Amino acid sequence: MLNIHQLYVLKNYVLQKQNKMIKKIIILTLTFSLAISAFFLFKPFNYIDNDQSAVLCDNGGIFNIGPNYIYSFEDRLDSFNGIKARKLCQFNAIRDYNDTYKSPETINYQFKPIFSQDSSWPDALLMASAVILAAWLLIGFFVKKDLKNYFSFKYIFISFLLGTAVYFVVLRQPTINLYCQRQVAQKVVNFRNSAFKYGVLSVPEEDKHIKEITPEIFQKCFRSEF
Amino acid sequence: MDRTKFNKLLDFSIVTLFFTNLWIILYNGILTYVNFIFPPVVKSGLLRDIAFPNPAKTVLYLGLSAIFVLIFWVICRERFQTVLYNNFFLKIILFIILLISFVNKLGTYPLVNEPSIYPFPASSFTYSLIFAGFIGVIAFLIIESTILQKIIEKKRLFYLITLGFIILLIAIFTFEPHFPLSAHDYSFILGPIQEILNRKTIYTDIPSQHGLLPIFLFTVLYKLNLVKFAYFSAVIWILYIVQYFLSFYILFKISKSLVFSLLGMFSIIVLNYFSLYLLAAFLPQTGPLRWLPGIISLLLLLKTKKINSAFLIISVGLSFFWILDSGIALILGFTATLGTLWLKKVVDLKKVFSTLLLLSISTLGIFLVINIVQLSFGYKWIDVGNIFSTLNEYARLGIVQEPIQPKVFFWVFVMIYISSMLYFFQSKKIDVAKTALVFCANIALFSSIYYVGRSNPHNLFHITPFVILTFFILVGTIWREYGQISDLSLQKLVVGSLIFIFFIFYPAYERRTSLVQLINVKYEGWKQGQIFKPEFNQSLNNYFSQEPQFIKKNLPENKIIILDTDDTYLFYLTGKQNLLLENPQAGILTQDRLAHALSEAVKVCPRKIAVDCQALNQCPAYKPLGEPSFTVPQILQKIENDCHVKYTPIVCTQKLCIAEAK
Repeated sequence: MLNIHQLYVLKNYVLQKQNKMIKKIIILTLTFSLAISAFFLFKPFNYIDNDQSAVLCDNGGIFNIGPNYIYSFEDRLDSFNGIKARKLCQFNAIRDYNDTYKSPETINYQFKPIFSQDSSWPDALLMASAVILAAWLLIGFFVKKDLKNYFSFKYIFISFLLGTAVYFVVLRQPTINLYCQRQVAQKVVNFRNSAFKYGVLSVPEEDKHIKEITPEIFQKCFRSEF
Repeated sequence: MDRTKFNKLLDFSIVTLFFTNLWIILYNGILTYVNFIFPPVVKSGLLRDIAFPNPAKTVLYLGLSAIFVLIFWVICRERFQTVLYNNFFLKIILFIILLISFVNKLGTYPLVNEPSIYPFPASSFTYSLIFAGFIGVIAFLIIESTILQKIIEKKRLFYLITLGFIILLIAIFTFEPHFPLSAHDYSFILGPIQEILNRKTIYTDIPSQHGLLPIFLFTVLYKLNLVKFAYFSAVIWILYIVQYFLSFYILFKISKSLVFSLLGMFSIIVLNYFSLYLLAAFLPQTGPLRWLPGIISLLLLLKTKKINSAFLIISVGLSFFWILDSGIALILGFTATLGTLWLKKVVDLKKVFSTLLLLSISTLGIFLVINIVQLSFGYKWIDVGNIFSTLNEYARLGIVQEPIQPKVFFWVFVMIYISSMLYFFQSKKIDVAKTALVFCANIALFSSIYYVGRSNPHNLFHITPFVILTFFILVGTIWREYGQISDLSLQKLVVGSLIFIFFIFYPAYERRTSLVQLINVKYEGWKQGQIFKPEFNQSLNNYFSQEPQFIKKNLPENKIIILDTDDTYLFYLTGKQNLLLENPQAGILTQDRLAHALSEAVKVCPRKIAVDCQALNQCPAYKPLGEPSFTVPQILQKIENDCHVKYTPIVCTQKLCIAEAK
């Protein structure tokens, strides 16, 4: 029979063990949920390369869109950019925001988009592993123990399941939010880099239009991902 | 190579690829997001729309690199080498996935197969013959060197003869018959020389894009009649020979292998010389004038074997007064190396501070000596603030900067930096070769800002010398650990062949059209004969057949204003003095600079000035000697406004008018 003191020591030992186990599971769960989040944040998407995409004019002219201040954030030109393409094909005119030239009434071009891919599935996997590596380094830095024996397979398995659950319940929405912001940022920056590569100009009309259409693109992305 | 060594190399490659991919993903991701939130905005005061201000690009590049170096330090210090699961096939698969992911990020080869400005060879057969001949000659020389290796190891005389032969070889490869030069680019050397000879003080009175000491060097050569202006590109050619030879010599010192050093040297020559779209000495600012101080400092480190050697510190301090941005890159590279050595506990903190103190004192001392010499010759004290003005314009306002693409070959350079730092931190014993590796890698890191700022594919070739040198020092050091590199074995044959294919044949093949054109134009130059006679004098005199006399006749005063994109050459031909505090005028890109340039002229407000006839609508557009002017009308208008006059043309040639104030 154990005496009271021995029982007390045993109870403390069990509690300590439990605490350690809970701590390990929390750390691992957090790591896995963040890794899954990084994976989905960096999953690939396609966007139109405004520097390479072109309008093929009915009169035979071919123009890359970005350098001529025309852009597309989806697979077509919106009405604002469509008018610019018509004027470009008809009058070789760009940045005619004051309507010096009258836009042709019919579409006089064919839009030929060229798509680029941002990130890739291996990249997404790499970012997830980077989160795990970062956690591994941090734990190793603070715990200063041989990590091979620190986490058993049992802990890893349970934590992975919990981490997946935490991702879906807590982190999924902010991850999609960031993912869609990443898409919008890439599309807008791609146009700016193409149009302004030899010198930035102040074009308030473009800034205004981009400001108007980006929430819509974001919402579209969010709806399709959620 | 046994299985353990191969495994170690495989682990190293996997970790390198993992961190390189991570670096690129983070860099692209963060930069895109920052650019989206803070789009580039041009500051007012620019005379032309040629700015793409994007300071985040460079800050992120350096910041991310510094963070990664710290991570490597932590990983290696805490001995995390057992992270990789020890399964050979799993590692191979991981390596392949990471390699594919990395290659996907490179995009197309820079300027792939794009032609240069020179004519094509007469036939496609000649084209193929030139390319095959070029590759064949390099391959032959490298194979021959395996035989020479044994001889030079035994006999010093043969060693010296071999070095002499290599110098001759570089001279032939890089020789440009008739020394062609770019009028626009060389005007940034000739212009300041003229102004210095007319008693103006560099930086205080006139700006300089090519630093202090190169301008002084050329001024002395020019003043003492040792080198005429038309031969300035010959000086650049000689500096190219020195740079490439020293690169070879550094690799030879580290590897002790003639074959390996020649592979490295030819790789640098193919990438840095034969990949350009122009003959290299045609442009003075992107070659040895920029990189030679770094190469010399690297050599001094190898010779003195000490990072705190006085010679090395003085050499680094001197570089600040050479071309400013490359000097700053060298100083930062040196400081970063000290920091890295301190992290690795190769040097203690006391040594780091004493070395930095010595560097500051020597830099200050050099500045004082330069000023004392200046004052003793009757010049003014150099204005320190003005030294940074041009750099500030380019960095802050983003003049001629260009955005970086997400998929570029520049990531190979990042990989070379990451692998060098990883290798350094995981090494147990640090010798001088490994210190040189870190020093070279850090110079490459900071000198690459030249490309990060202006991400033009052409600039990628300009920044290759230190990057390729780093790569070869790394390979040489790794290889030395596995045995004597001078031994000939099947493994070395395989590695040598792979280096030849990826670092000589592949870049040459991707730039074959331009490469063939460059060789062809050289050959045509040789065929014409009188190869050492410069072509520039004649073309200059032919171009300005009437104008010098025209100016002398109509503007008899000594100090005059010539508003023309080729102002430097008109002053050179007339011997007149410039009333503007800027030569060439092509350097005026901001309102501040314009105000400074005209500060003397608007006090005088001359009655007659010479003006490019295009700016006065007195002639059709013509091709100038340098680059078309965009700012002459703006300079003219500013003088008119400040002097409250209107200049109207009274007499003109086909290029220039004399305008009188009304």
